[in-house]
Amino acid sequence: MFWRQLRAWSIAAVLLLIATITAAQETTPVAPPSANDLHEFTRLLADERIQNWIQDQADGAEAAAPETRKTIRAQLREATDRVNARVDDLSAAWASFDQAPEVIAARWREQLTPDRRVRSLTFALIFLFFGAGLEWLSRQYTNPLRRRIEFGTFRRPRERLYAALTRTALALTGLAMFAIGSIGAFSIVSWPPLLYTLILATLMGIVSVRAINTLIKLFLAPKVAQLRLLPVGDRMARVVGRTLMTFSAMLIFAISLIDVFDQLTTADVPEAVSPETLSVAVLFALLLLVASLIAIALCFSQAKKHTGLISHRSMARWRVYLSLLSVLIFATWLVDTRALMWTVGAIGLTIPMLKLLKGWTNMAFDHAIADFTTKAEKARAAETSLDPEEIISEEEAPPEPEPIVDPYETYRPIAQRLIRFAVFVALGLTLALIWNAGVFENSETPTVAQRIFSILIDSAAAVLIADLVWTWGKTSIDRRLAAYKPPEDGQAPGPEARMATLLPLLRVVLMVTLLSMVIMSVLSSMGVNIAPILAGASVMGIAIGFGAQSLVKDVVSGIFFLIDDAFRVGEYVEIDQLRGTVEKISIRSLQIRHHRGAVHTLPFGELKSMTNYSRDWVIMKLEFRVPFDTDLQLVKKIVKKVGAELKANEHYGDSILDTLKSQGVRRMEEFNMVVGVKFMTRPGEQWLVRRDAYQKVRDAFEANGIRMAERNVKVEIAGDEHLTEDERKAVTAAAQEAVTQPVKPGVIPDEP
Amino acid sequence: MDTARATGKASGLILRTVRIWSGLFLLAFVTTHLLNVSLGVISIDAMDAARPFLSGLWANPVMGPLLLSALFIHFCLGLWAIYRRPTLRTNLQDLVQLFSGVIVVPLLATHAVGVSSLKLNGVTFDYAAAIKFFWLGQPAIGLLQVILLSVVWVHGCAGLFTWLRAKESMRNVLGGLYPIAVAVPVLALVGFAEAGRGVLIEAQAMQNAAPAYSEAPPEYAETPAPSAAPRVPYEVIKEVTNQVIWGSLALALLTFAARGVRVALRRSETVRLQRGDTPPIETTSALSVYDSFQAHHQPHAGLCSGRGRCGTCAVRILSSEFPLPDPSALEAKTLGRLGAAEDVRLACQLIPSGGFLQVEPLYPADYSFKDEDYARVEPPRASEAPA
Repeated sequence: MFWRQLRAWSIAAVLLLIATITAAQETTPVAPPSANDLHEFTRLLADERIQNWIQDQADGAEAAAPETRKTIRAQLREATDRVNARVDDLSAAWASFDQAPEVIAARWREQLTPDRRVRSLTFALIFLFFGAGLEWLSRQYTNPLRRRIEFGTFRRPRERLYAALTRTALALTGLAMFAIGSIGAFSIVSWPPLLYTLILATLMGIVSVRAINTLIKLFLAPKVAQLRLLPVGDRMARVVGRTLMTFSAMLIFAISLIDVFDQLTTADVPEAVSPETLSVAVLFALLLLVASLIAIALCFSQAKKHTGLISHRSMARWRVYLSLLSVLIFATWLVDTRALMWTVGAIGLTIPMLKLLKGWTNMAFDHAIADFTTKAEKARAAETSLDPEEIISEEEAPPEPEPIVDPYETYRPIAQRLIRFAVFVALGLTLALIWNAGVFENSETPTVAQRIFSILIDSAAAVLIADLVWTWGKTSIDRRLAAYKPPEDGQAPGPEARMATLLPLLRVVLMVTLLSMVIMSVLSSMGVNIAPILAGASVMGIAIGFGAQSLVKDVVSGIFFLIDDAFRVGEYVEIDQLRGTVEKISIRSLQIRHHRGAVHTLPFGELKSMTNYSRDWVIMKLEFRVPFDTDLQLVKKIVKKVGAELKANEHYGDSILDTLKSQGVRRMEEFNMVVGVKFMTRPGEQWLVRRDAYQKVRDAFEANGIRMAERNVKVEIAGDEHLTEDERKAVTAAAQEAVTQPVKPGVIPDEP
Repeated sequence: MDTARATGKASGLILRTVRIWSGLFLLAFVTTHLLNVSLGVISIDAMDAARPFLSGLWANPVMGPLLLSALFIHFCLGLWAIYRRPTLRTNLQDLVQLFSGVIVVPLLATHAVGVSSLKLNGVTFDYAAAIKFFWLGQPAIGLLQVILLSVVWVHGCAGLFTWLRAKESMRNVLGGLYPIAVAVPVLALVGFAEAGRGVLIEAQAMQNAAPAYSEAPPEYAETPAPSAAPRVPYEVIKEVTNQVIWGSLALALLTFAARGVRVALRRSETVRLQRGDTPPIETTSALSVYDSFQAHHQPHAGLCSGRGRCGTCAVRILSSEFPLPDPSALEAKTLGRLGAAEDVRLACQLIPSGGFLQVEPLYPADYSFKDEDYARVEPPRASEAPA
């Protein structure tokens, strides 16, 4: 099938070729083919010779096709050949090194007469003036803003970042105006090629040096300390900035000069590098290498003097690393392996950049946290300084100061991860561009490099994103968990208790989900077909789901109970006939401990309704039976007094919401009155209060001569005065028998 | 430039005024001349047609000597200002103004002497001849003219805008002046280049038409020859030009050398200076308070960059170890305009003699007359009573 397709393609290609050739030959517009032509064409196609010819062509194409794909050995040999050729070039360049200046000068004189040179200089000056004028104009209008940024004070890191970025944007706007003015005016006029290269190289060089300068200013801000993004001091910023600036200017100058020389010496043969230019280029590259080594040494000696952030040993390590990097870049340039050079450069610079960015984020967060803390402390100080009158008037102790919790700490790992993520993505894209892997093209037959790159990029993206999400989730969950304090003994737990139950669950779920997703996507990008895995997983899921229906029910209804906030750890609940304190909430079930020690385990699925005794408040009603002749006013007074005493109790007084008070006579019974009293407390405190209330009321009644009604029998016999002693005894015994009946216990719940 | 720093005499004020007005006079001439050149966008004929109304205004016997003397006075006053300057390490604009002012005269010499001598010789040196001369005959001199134009215009604009920025009434005019300040030289350069291109194309066409003469230098490239016997011979012109160039350069060098001697000879004490609540800085009595702030990268308002005109660098003296020098006439005038109290001084004019000095700025560092945000900043007279 593949061959047939190929044949069809080759036929189409041949036809297309013929068509283009004929179209190129014809100058008149193409007329549609006549009927005669079509007949001829079909006849030709039917002709066996033509068919054979086409067949041959197709075979040839087939034979030629595999050649486009090179084997690794061939590629390697090609690379070695290129390096060898380069070495030959270099030796030729070495041989012609001493003539290079004369050759270049001769070509220069040959191509430009003195008058022309001066005139082109005049033109270049005019263009520069245009650019500078436009830039000056734009600067006059942006100056107030720039001054405000440079002289203003920005405390918060975000403001500072915005200010620094705005300043850079202003500088870049000016630069863009300069570029538009100078290069725009330059490109209007048509130029001879050498002048074009010369002037364009000059203008581009100026623009790019200034752009680099702007970037250096953005990061180092040598004059405005508060807009500096990197954690370095004034002096060091100045030295490092100047060094980098000089080096980049040298680099750009060398590159544009080599470009011009190249144009000069090989004006007639493009694509070739003359040995003279090459020798000068090697000389420049050597000089640049030396300059970069000097720059690195200079920067690090400054750093040693002015920063205490990094230890000397690690600084020495970095210095060696950077020096080696520049030597390596030089070596790869020398053997003309550009892709390797850029790769080394990109990876080599990414590592210190990551380090720097990490330091920078840490610094930014430290600043933000310190700023927040001072602000919060100030606010608190202001509050306490305002408060005294209130405190005196209410005679209350000031509340215990809570530790200040800043809102930024959570985001520190996320920010670091995010930056690392961005850097890695940028690096990956850069490498893909360097190796020309064509990640952005969707080719039918990817090369090995393309495949490897796409697998690496896909997996890295999946891992990095999952890492980002996991870090975010984990830090926020851990933070909330850390903020949760378990309730002290005897106190009702707050609403955070529910989170303490749910969050670890959520964390595990998040981890499992992320892990499986990452594994899936990595497998799929590697070309493993994950459909069967997914299908298997779903079939398994269905099977397990059916099998574990009640389990699922337990889990799901448990989540909803938790969301409803029906109970929390430590609360006293009643479910059906079971009572007890909630001791443990697991994913499937609830364990409650009865106050006598028994532990009940209840799956959530079984819970239909539950009673929670630990919410907000509890009302307890007590009854006292007193004889009919009791002074009710006195009783009310006594109860009120006892209530006040209870409220004043140091242990549970605070828990009493509504202290003991008399409700008057609740009902009349056969032989006594029932006086009702009630009180309201926080959940869990009622038992203690009840105990004391009974005791105190009884003591007070006794002290005031109020007797509790007791069951007694009064036997009244008409005309009892003439009874004998025996008869009297018999009557008493009979009466005793009549009244002694078993008394049922009340339904007052047991005290836990 | 700061002429009358702490002289205590009115001479500084007079010198300043003379320098400004001579500069303005020269700038007016340059502007009309450039406008005339910019007509080259249309054609060389248009340039020549407009000459009597633009450049020609200055060529009559009254204006010519006036112009020359204005140039001389301005140059000398500029050199005097350089001599008096306490420090050369100020902002970029000042430096540009200073050095462009120094090199204007040497650059101008060739052009000015050449044109005036041609006129003395009675040769009509119109724009057609000038363009041919600058683009074909002596392209090096043409290049010199472009440099001259840039330098002169930059110098003029630097002076003009520093002068205008110090004036509160001018704040709305400035925004409109900026585009003009760019448009005039750009148009002039475009006119110059366009006319030159026309001349070049014409020359090439002539060369193609008559290839036989191509070896001999074409006649139009010559300096316009006088019709009669020259009253001023070429050698004299050349000598005068060279004398002007070297003379002015020598004068400038002499000024710098004299300034160096003056700076080296002056005695200076250490001054500890505190601005607001920032930590005190160590400086010398050679610098004004404003220059000390600049040298130590402490932002301070100053719209006229230390010329004592705008009054935005005003500070209130909180404490001073030694008595401060009395205000000069210039400072007194500006302070009087502000209606300032006794303890308010201009930081750019105040040169402490030593010891500890504590001051408080009256305006925020990024103050400008245009700022609406700071429009309600208390004027120095409003809040305080003389202590």
